[in-house]
Amino acid sequence: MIRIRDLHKRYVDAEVTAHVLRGLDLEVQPGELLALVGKSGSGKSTLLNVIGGLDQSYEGEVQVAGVTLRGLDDRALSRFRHETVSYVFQLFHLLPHLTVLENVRLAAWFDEASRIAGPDARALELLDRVGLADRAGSRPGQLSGGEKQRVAIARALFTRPRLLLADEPTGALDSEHGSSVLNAITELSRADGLTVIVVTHDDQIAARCDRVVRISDGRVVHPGEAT
Amino acid sequence: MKASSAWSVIVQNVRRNRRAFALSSVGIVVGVSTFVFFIALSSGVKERVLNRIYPVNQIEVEPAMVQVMGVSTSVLDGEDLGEEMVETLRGLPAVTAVYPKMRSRLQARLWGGKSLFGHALRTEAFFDGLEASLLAEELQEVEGVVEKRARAAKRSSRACKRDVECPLGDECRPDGTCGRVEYWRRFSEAHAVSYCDEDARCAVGQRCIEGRCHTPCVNGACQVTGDRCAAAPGCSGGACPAVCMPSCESDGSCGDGLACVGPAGSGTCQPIPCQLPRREALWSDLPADVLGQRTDRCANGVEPGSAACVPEPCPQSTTCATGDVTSLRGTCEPPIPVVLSPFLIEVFNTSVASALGFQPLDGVQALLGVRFKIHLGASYFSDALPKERQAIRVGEVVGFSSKALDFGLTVPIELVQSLNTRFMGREAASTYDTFVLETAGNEDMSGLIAALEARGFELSRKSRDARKAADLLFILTLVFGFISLVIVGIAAVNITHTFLVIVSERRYEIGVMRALGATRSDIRRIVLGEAALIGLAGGGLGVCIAFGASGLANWAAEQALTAIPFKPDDFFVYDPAILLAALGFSVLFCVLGAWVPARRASRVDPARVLVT
Ligand SMILES: Nc1ncnc2c1ncn2[C@@H]1O[C@H](COP(=O)(O)OP(=O)(O)OP(=O)(O)O)[C@@H](O)[C@H]1O
Ligand SMILES: [Mg+2]
Repeated sequence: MIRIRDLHKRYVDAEVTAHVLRGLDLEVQPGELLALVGKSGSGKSTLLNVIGGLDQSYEGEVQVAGVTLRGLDDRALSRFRHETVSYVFQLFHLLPHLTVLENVRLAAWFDEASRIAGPDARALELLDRVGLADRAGSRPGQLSGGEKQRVAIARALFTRPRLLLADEPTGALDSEHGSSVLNAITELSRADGLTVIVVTHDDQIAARCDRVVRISDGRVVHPGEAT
Repeated sequence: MKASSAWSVIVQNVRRNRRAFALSSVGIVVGVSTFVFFIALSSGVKERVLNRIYPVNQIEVEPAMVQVMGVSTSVLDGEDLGEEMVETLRGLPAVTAVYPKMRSRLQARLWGGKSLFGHALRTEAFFDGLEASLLAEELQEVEGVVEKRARAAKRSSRACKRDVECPLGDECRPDGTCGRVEYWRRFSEAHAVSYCDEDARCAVGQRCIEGRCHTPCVNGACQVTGDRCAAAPGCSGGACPAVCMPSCESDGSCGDGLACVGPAGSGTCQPIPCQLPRREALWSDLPADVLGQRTDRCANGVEPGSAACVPEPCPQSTTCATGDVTSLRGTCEPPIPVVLSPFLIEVFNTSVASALGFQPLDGVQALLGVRFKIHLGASYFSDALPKERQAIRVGEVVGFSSKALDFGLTVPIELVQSLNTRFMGREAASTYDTFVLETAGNEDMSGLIAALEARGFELSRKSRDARKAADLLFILTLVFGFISLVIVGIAAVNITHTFLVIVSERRYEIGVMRALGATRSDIRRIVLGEAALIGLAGGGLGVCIAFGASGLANWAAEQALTAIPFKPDDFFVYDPAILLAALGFSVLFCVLGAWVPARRASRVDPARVLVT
């Protein structure tokens, strides 16, 4: 599903250059539920941005779902983001002026090829699957953090992606809500055969994943060579 | 992104930020309404005020005057200003038509208006003759002919032979049906009657027979088609020369005041003889007095002259016009059609009326058709002509025109020509005073004016004023156009600021949309679309405000300028192209204003705003 070879990522600011990823290699199989762990600042979010096609300035080779990301123009990359990957963010990023249902079906605006037939029905169905069908008409401000994140998961799944990238999805939630969100992610992704990468600091959550990958010094640390 | 989705996002966003957008589009609204208001005002003033005096494609020139030792004399001689000059001017490049004007060269005075004002108004009269075609359009407009016809069309038309068979206020038209009186026709269809006392007082080629100028038959034939040889009317005895007269089948095919005389198949249109009943009737302007009685027949069919004769008045709109002031006999004739200047009415209303205790005049309708007496050959200022050369005629107000003489009577040029010939001789009738030149379109007149100046002409005062006013108006339009442009430009800067704030507020949202598949150009289109929508709404509101303001201005003008009866009802002309241009500008400036913010929005980096 994902093949990364010798990925280097530098953040170049006015004076400082931060060499965050230093020759990272990674392979992820289809349908895998992967936990990405590492110290704060180790480059986990950076890696997700590269995989998700949000960041194009890197060196190395990145293939996602058979697509080589380098060299895609804005249009093709946007299409890749629309069709292939989806994101769940720590801070939910729901649009406050839209209803829950409208938030879930947000990606329909950019559905040029009309891939999603009956967007409202699909959005309702997804809300039902995250247990929030009765809140379809509410505004995000009226929901709890866990509910918001479940709405964000429904939104992420709306376009039938093949890869779900979740960056600390439970980071802003207490453990109870956190586990309900993780349940939603695991159940839904399993049902749809989705590949999932979850960035987390929570060992319990990591333990529930198929595989745990640790990043340190800009590389994937293999179990044998633990620091 | 599909257009329908883009549209719904745009509408949603505009609605969400309506307060900020409403504030920042105030400038657009003000700018657009200023623009539309002043453009409409200036084209209204140009079309409805200036063009009445002289349209852009008309100029009036007169012989240039030079000062020679304190005395001003004309560069051009009288004999230079005849028919030949008309031809020369017609031959100038770009000139499509030439309308000569001729002033009357005889003294005259007039009185009348007793029925209108309560007591008669007396004044010296000056005549200006010009071609009917120059006025026809304006006369119809001022008279409201179109509305009259529309109203008349609703009623079924009645067949008629004479005016009396038609309802009050109607006349019997040449096509044999009753219709509203259209006074402008009386100007266009006036035919000159040539009085004379000797051959020299007739046009070249004509002879004076029994007080009228006639074209003699040459070998029993006439040059003008439709004319026929007949004995000169009024001539009795053996030696009556044959003259050319229009042929006819019945009275209906002759003009007003003419009767078809002669055996069937060889009739000619001849004047109807008449007489005034009393000597005082000559000086009276009361309708009953001017009418006169026919002397060729009686209303009850008895032989004229017998005691049982019930007199029949002159037909249609004609009155009995006597040969001179010593006689009561004459012929039935239409009144002299007179066009007045609106300026005259303004002067009358603002100063004359109050000073002399007359009623101010309100509008055209009150004066149309008013008849008065003109005493030709007599003057309040100078000596009169001998009695047998004086004559009294009836004049009738048939319209108003800005092209008319400000203080005087404007009549068809043929009439001035025949009056000048009769009273002052052929010489006086062969010299024109000014020429109105017409060019094809909105051509630049300066070349033509230069060519005319080289020939010894200069622009007439009115024409010069009209051009000055048009230039001034053009400059004012430019100034206001520029001001509104500046307002809209400042508004665009304001829009830039508003959008910069909004884009920065929305950066998370933009990041989310990008993460969900929005392209850079989708984001840019949404922002620019919002700007265009604001421009359209602001522009539309501006146009509406301009409409409202112009209504208000018209109303204010109506209230404030009561003494000016001929001001237009509406000073504004809205050209659809200008409205479209205003909306287009408004949209354009908003889009330009939002350009930088839209660019910034499209460059929002989702990785940076979304991920912590
Ligand atoms: N836009 C940026 N410009 C410059 N430096 C950046 C930028 N984004 C991240 N970095 C730096 O890159 C390094 C990796 O950041 P990243 O966000 O990937 O870490 P992370 O593993 O996700 O940490 P956390 O667990 O705290 O979220 C950090 O040192 C960070 O300061
Ligand atoms: Mg992170």
